[in-house]
Amino acid sequence: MTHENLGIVLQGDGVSEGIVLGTVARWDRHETLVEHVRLPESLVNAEVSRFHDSIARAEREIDELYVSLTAAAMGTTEGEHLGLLDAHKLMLRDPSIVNDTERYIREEHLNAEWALSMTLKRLESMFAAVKDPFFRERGQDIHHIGERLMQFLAQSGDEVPPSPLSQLPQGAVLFAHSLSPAEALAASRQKVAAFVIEAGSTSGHTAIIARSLGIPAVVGLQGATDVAGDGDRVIVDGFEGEIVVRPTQYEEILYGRRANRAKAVRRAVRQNRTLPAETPDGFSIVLKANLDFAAQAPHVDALGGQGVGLYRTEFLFLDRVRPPTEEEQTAAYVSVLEALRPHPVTIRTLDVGGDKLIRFSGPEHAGLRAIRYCLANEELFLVQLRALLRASRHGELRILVPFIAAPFEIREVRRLLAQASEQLAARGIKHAPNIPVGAMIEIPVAALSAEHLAKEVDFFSVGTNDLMQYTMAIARDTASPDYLTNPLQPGFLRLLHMITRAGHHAGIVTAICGELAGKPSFAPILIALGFNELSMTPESIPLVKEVIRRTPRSEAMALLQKFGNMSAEEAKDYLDSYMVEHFPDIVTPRFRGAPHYMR
Amino acid sequence: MDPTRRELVIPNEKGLHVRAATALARTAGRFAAQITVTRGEERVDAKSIMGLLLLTASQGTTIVVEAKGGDAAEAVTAIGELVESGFYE
Repeated sequence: MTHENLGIVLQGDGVSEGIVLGTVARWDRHETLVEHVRLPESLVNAEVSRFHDSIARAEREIDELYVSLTAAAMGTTEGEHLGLLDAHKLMLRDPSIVNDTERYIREEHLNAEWALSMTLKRLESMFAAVKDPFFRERGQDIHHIGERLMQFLAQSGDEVPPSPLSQLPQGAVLFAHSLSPAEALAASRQKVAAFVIEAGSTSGHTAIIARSLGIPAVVGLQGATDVAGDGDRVIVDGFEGEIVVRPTQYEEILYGRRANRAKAVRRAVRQNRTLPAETPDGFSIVLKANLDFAAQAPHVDALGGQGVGLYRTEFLFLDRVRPPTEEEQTAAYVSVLEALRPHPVTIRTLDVGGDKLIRFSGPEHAGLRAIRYCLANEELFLVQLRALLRASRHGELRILVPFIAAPFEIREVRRLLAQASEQLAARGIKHAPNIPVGAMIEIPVAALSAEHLAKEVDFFSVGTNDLMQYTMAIARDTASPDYLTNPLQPGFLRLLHMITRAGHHAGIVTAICGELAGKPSFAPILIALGFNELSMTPESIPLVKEVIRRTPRSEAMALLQKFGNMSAEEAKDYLDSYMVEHFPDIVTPRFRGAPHYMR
Repeated sequence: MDPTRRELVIPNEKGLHVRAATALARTAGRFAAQITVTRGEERVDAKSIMGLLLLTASQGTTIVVEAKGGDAAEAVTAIGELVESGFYE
C-alpha cells in the first residue's frame, strides 16, 4: 500500500476531546537577545532591586494563573498538575537563582539580564547532565521561568509584557515542543483551535486548560514540529490522539464525518443519558458496555449504560509466563463488580487459544480455543471459576461461557462450578447463590441448536463477529469482499432470528455483544429481531440509544420484513437511505470513492 | 543521637520529584536554620528546590539531612516526618 498521496499521520495521546481542521502555527521559543552591560558602581543597587521586582511580578502572574487554573480544574482530579505552579513559584525564589544572580550583579557589576542568563545557563547545563530522564526534563521548568523573568526585566513599571503568542492567526493549531502554563493560558485566550505538543509528561497544565475550554489537544507527539510548517493544514483528533498533517481531500472528508459523529455523540449524551432505551411504542431494550479493564467503568455510567454485557478476562492472562492466581483474578473481578454496582456485570470466562495465544499454553492443547481449552485444562479453569464465585458477593455477577458448540459443554461448566463451590466451602468461603450462566452463541451449530441450548442456560449472548466469520466461511484478518461481511445476508438474519426465537420460547434473555450491537444503523434491525440486550463499546451507547428512542418497533419490523425479499446489497442501500432520511443528525451519507487505507 | 542530623530513605514511588521536592523546600523554608541535604558526595541547600531536584534521589535512596542554627532540631524533625510519611502522597 502506498502512502505517498496521503497526509502524514502521527499518533500521540489525546488529552482533550474534539476534532478540528486548522492551520499550523509553530511556536518556537526564540532566545531573547541578552545585552551585556557593565554598570557603574552607583547603579548596582538599583539593578538588584530591578531584578527582585521582576521576580515579584512573575510571582504575581503565577498566583493569578493559579486562580484561573484552579477554577478550570474545579471538580476534577487534576489538582495535582497545579503543583507544578507551586514548584515554579519556589524556583523563582530559589537561592541558586537569586543568590548567584545577585552576586554577579554586585561583584561583577553586570546588568540583571546578563547575570540571570549566566545563572540560568549554569543551572540548565547541570540539569542537562542528569542521567535520569525523569529529573532531566525539569530543566524545561527553568527555561520557562527564566524566559518569563527575562520578559519582565525587559518591561518597565507594572506593564505585563505581551505574550509572544498574542499574534496567532484565527483557527490556528498551536504546535510547540512544550508550553508553560502562562503560554498555554495566553494561547487559549487567543482562541487557538487546538494544541499539539511534542512533550508528553510535562503537559498536564496544557491539558487542564484545553479540557476546561473544550479545545482539542494531543500531546506526546515527538517530531511533530519537524513535519509541519506554518500555514499547513492539519487535522487534530483529540479523541484518538491522532493528527494528520497536510491531509488529502479524502482524509478531510473522513475526518469531517468523524467530527460530526463526535458532535452527535455529545449531543445524544446530553439528551438521553438518564432516559431509558425504549422505542416510541413502548418496547424496552437494555444497553450495556463491553469492557476490558475495570478502569473503564466510570465511562459506562457517564454514557448512560446499564451495566456490563461483556467483560473480557483475556487481558489478565495474555503476555505472562504463569496464569494469574486465584487472588489476582478475584481482585480483578471484584473491582469491576464493585465499580458497576448495582448494575449487573457479565464476565466471560477465558477465551484464548486458536488465534488468541497465551504464553503458558502447552503444545498439547494447540488449536483448542475458549471453553474447549478450559475443559482440557480443568485445573486452570477451576481457578477462574473459584475467583468468579469469590467475587460474586461484591456485585451482580453473570458468567458467560464463550465458544459453546453443544449442551454438553454447559453441563460440564455447571459440574465444574459445583466443584469450585465445594472447594471454596471446604475453605469456609461463601458465594452468591444462583449466579446466571450464559452461552456465547458464535458458532453456527450453536445457533442451529439454540432451542436445546436454551434449556441449559440462563441467557444467550451472540458474538456476531465470529458467528459471521464461521457462517460465511471467511478467514479472520484477511480482507474479504463486502458481500461476505454484510450482516444483512438473508441467511444470516434468519440465523440471528433463530437464536432470539429460541430465547423467547425458553423465557431467557438474548443479548448481543458483537460489533453489530454498537452500530446505530443496525439498531432497528436488532430491535426487530427481538434482542433484549445490546452490549457495545461504551462510546457507542448514546447514539444507539438515540436511534432506539426514535424508531417505533412496528416500523423496525416492517423494515426487517422488506429485507426478507432483498439481496444483502439492496438491503444495505435501503438501510443506508432509511438512516439518512430518519437520522440526518446521526449518520452522514456513505462517502463513495474514498480510498481504502488502513493505519 | 544528634537531633540536628538524620539519615532518611526516600520511601515514595516517584522519589524526590517535583511535588516532593516542593514540599521539602517549603518545609525547610519555614525554619531559620541552615539546612542541607546530602546524597553521597553531593550536598545541597534544603531550601533550594533546584538543588533538591538535582540530587535525583529516586525511591530507596538514602539522604542525610543536617541543620545548623537556633531551630535546627525542629527543622530536622519536621523534614524527617515529611520524608517518612512519603511526602503525604
